[in-house]
Amino acid sequence: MQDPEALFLALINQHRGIIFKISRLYRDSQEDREDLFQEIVFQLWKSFPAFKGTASTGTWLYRIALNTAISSFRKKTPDIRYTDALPDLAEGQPSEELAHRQEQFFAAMKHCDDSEKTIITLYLEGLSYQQIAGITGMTENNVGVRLNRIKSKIQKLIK
Amino acid sequence: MEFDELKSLWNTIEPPLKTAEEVRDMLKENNHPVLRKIRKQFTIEIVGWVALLACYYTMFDGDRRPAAFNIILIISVITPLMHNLYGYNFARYLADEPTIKKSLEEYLRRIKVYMMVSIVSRTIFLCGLMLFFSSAVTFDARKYLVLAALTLVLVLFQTIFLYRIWTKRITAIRATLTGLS
Repeated sequence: MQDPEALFLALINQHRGIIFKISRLYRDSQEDREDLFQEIVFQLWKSFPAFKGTASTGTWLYRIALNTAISSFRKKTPDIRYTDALPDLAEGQPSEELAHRQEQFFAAMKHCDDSEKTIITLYLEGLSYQQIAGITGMTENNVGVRLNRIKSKIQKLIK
Repeated sequence: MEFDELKSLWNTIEPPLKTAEEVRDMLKENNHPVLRKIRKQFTIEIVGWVALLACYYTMFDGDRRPAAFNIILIISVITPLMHNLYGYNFARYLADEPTIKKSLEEYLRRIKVYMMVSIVSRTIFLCGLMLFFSSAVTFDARKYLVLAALTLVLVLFQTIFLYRIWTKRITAIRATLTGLS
């Protein structure tokens, strides 16, 4: 029988991308993002024993990660750090232009509230309206309506 | 920017590498960012309040005050410590319901309870301190009135302050729930 911790670490390694993106989306400072990343991993670990594969791994992970991002307390004081390099650029970032477009996207997302960020995150992850409804608790129809509004909003912000 | 383009852009976002050791450290409650801060605050408060309880009998003439007022002071000091324990448990446990909406509804319910615990415990603390330190005063009607007015103002001010902090949080959660309706 495989060690649960080893299984969990493999799972986190596989899905660290979405956890990073959610942290980036829901927090403004580097320190807050790192804290949120850690908090999401901690909550996933706590929930891991009860996760018996009844839902898909992705569904379980999205649900807990997004719930943690929405529910956890945020700091009021800004974290000001002076660095030589842009802190959010991962190593091996392909181009400045791509980094700029990514920053543009996240800047536009700052104008979205938590519920909009939740819906758009799941959509960008490639989930269907039905799957988004299942994770959020919304009706499929409402997912469609909200998503169209969010898309219009973002498209106006990113020209 | 078209939405297909946005999806492609989303998929280009690469996370920084995290070693297995770094992730393993995140599983430990000792390293949890919020819980660590609560524990630090809790430790400082315990040290402070235990020092007070150890010294109050001589420093604040506890031996010359009625026993009931000494008990009131002890209860008043223990109350914020219990409140911190409650807060620690609150921060540790995240509602894990089948949907995000259900989890937030449960979280909202719990945060309202925590708000009441916070307000009541701080009120008990404040009133207890006021009662203890005024127990050595010889009161007349005017002094009772002044004490009552002072206590009322302080309790009101504290309650309004705490209520506003918590209401801000509750309003944000409610807004998210509305957005997910």
